[in-house]
Amino acid sequence: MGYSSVRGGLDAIEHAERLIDLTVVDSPHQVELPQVRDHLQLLLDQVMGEGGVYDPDLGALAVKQAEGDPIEASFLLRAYRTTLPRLGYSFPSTGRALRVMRRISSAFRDIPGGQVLGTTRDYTQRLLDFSLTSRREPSTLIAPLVDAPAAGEFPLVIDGLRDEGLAAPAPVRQHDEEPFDITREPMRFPATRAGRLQVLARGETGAMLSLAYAGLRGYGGAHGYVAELRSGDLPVMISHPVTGNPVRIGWVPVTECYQVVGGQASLQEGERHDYDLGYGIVTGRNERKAISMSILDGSLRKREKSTQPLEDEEYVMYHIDAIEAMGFVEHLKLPHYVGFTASLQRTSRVRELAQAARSRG
Amino acid sequence: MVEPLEPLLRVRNLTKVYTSGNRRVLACEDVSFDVYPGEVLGIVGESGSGKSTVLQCLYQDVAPTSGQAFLASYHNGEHSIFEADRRERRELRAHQISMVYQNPRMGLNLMVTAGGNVAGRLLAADWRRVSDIRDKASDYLQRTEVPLDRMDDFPAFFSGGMQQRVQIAKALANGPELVLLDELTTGLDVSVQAGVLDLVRDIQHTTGMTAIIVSHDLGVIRLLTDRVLVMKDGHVVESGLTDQILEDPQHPYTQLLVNCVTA
Amino acid sequence: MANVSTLLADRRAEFTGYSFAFLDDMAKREIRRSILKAIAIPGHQVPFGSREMPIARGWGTGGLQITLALVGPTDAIKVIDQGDDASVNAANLRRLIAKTTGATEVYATHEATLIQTRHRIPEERLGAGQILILQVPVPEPLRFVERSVAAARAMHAERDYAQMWLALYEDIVRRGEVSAGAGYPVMVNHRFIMAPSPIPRWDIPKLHHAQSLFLFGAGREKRIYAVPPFTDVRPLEFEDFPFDTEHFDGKSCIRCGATDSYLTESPREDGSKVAVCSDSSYCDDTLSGRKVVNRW
Repeated sequence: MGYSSVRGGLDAIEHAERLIDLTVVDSPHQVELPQVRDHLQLLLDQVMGEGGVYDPDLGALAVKQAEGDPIEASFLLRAYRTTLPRLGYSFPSTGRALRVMRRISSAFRDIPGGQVLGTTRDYTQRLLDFSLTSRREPSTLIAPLVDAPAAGEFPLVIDGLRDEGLAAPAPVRQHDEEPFDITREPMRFPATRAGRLQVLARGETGAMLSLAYAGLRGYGGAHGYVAELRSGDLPVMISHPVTGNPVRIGWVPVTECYQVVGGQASLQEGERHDYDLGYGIVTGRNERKAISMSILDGSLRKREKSTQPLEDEEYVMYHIDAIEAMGFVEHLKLPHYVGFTASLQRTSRVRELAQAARSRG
Repeated sequence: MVEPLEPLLRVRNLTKVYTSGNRRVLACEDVSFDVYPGEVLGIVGESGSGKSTVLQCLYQDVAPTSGQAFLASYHNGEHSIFEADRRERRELRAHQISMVYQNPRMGLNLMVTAGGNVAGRLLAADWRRVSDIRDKASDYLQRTEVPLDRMDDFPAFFSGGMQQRVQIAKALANGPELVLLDELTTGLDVSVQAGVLDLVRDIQHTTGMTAIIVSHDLGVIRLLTDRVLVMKDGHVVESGLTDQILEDPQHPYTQLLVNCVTA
Repeated sequence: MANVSTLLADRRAEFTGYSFAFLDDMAKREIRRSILKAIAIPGHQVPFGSREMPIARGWGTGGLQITLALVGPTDAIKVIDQGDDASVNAANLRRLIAKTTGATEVYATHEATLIQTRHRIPEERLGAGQILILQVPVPEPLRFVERSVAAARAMHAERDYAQMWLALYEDIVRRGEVSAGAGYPVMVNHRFIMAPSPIPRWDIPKLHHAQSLFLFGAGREKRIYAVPPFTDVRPLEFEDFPFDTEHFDGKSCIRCGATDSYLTESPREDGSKVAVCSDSSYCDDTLSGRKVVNRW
């Protein structure tokens, strides 16, 4: 009588687990975690970002255990993350301390500090490289690698626009308040900007790409200019538990996108700046998501009432979380026969009523 | 001795200024008037004179910049309805004031049947018997000459005139104290206009409803209203009994208006 | 740390590396505070910081968080899906709860202290001290008349339910009756309209003046709400279109022969249909001849 009505449910799910276990470990070419960490970096970055845990070892484990399914892997990380205590908060970072590995601006031909192309597939030809089918030696660099320049060597492009009064000034944090935390508190609408950025930062790359694309095509997204797209390592600073001084406890690789949106001079009283900032930040290298995030942030900053889906906070923020979306969409696999029985009864009842009405004429 | 009649609505110094960028647009300024129970007040003027803004402020679709409006049934007429919070505003709309928009699509829920549109006001007033609700709704629809076999159809598929009749039925349901009617025939064919006007006049005669009718059409004003305010550039330039104003206009603008029609 | 393989090797293996009942104590305290608030305001949806769980959103994370926040090592837990203890998802949730707490797993309704359920309320009347925890997919009963969460919240605050009544009226006008099957909206304590989760109409009357506590958890939507014992819970109905439940006239369970339980039908290969109790514990009781109070 089907997979649920019999009393074998527990045996069935345990056998399913064994079958998964076989596909993960039963092979002479079992995936080693360092292989994932070193060679599937972009997958790992996406999984750690959407899972909300920056830990390459755990991330590699999740990828292996999930057979490379990025949503399943980030789900594993989130379910692990939730068991960890919240020990404290780092100091806020402005991004100016970024140890830059790559920075480009499409808004300006040249920018103070210069453009740094860095590692990018943007200008490669997408041809399958059959030399990778077997092991081979790496190619040599044309120029030797240099150490990353010191912090502060690359001023933020957006700062220049701010100085000219063209873009809204950077928000000033009034005091050292505890940040709103979406993993501890449910979202309320209208959302705070901190909450919104957190939801976007954990959002699923593909979902955000689709929404951002729909926005560019005319569903409410702001078509702005990328003032700066940069990636590198950001120091994590905390307050020393004894001395209270700021102390660096590590580095987190991030990609940041600063997009300027708007730009039509506003004559609104009390407002001087012309451009608003759409901001995106993700851990690791995931430029696709950083740009998508900056588009979504930019379009959500429009405060006037709008019927455009991308300017509707609830629409965007409720639908980009892959863990929530996949759970609910796939729950349709669960049995629903009690409800279906109820529905069938209603349907036939309505049909009877309709028939009775017809026969009455 | 006859008790002096208390006004149902007192509007005082109603002013609305729109800002657009650095521009300030004066929609209406210092508009004051009274409306007595059973009376139909007309507001006439050309488009842009601010007459519709007055209605939008009273129905609280638009927040006035300053001024007050006292409704006798709202806190005994001691507080302006502009001080109402969200809940009170909803109550005012559900029980005391209703609006007939120029565009019936503004006033109707097109996803709900014609009967449902009328029933909404009854449900808001806690009616809980479907047969009573349907009796009452069909009563109103009949009064506004909507064929009863259309009651369970969606107004999205009705003609403009029929939509306007449903909207009027909706506005009258549950007996509001004050009905606001904004250019109710402007979007309709001339052949349909007369029918709608007759309808409103008949309803007024049978129910004694209190109403404010905004129109640029002196014919509508002459037919339906007892008293009239003439507005130009956001100000009331003349007011008085409708017959008097139309027969013997004093303000040059009113004279111009009246001459345009008679000429 | 316990992992899949140690659990597979031995169902009784120690589950280490995680807190008692999986969630950390701060999270459990927060959830218990939300539960208390929900009990204090029957039918009101209390937002809470829904945690990521090791099972998927939409598969019972809201109910699971409530269960884990309440369960102790001496509890007897029962988990059902569609009324059935052996349903795969129910089995998975129950072993997670048991594994992380040491609580006893039971199938018999009357033996359970905590019952987590999806889509059913047991046939057997629950007693004082028993808690039924319902998994909720959509906690907002107004969702289908008001899409915006913020706007729906304001409607609850102001008891502005005309839109909901209008939807029911329209349903009756167009279909001859209210078409909601599972998840029929109810009015709790004369104050809040509440989504009872997708239980069939059959189970709706059980919520009214029950001896047990009902807790509702929506994990993805991050809401907890409650119906305390002896609370007034009534389906939304018009006086002349009274609420009515499913009927199984003339049908009986092919397994136990019961004619007074909620039956679900399955097609057989020969094209005929067989009806079975959806509540497996009740079916067992009927079969064994145990006397069960099923009038709530």
